[in-house]
Amino acid sequence: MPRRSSPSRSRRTRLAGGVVLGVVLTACAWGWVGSAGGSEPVRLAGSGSATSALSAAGGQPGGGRLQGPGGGRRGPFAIAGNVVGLYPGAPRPLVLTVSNPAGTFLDVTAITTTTSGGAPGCPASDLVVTGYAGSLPVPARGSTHVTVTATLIHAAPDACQGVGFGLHFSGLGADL
Amino acid sequence: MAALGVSAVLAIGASSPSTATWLTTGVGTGAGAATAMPTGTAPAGSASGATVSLSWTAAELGNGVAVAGYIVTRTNAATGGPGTVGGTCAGIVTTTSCTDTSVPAGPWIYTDTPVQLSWTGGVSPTSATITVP
Repeated sequence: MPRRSSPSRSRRTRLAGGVVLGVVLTACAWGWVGSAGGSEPVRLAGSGSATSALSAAGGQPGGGRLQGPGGGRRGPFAIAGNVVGLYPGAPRPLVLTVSNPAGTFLDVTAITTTTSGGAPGCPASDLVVTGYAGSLPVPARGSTHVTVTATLIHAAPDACQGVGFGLHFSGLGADL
Repeated sequence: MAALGVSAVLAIGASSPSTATWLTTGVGTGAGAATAMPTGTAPAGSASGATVSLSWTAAELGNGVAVAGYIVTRTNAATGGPGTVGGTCAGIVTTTSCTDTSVPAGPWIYTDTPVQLSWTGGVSPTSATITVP
């Protein structure tokens, strides 16, 4: 079970790669910090700013990633969008709405889409959707839009006429 | 307390305080829908000698976009035997009119079929019989 620490309390946690961090928290938000390798997580009550002391086992001091094991201060942000009027070889705009339910500013850096559905003779892979990569700001408890492109491939057969596809979005971002 | 897909990144410097950025993930679903090809409209035409001029109404995809082209066919109205169109009616016609040349004498009916790259629409109703003397 996660343990809660006081805002100023130092903890030591071990990364999967053998790096040991001494983390000194300084302020005021919530977060979970655990280890990438699945060792015991440490729940932190502190700010997004932390002072760290590093000792690296066999490596140079540098960057480190602390992977939360499922605990965190927010849930995933939401991505939605539909596209109609697809036909072979014609790129169609797919407007995605990115919603940020959290009370913190969100910077979305990547969105990818996979497809499903289709029909006999018309595989889901006949629909190609471009990804997004960049810096998309989303206000706290707000939403914004970004447009990607959906294209039914040139060789999509007649079996694709009138067919519906499922779109499954996944994104990556950072709370700032 | 569940919060899926959240991780923390600490940029760790050897001598300076580090800042933390919380990585988070996004998920969602949507739908895509392909449109469908239309059926062609019956061509109208007339003969002048061995040349038949044809025209028809433009066909549109379900989303209102005009199709890229048409395939025109000629059939002998008396025998049902197919003919081979020539002139500007040969191949894929990218306009809504064409001229079939060197047409053998006889009664002929024509159709047009919309095409869009790999997609083919419905065959139009036949034209009225056009007699080539």
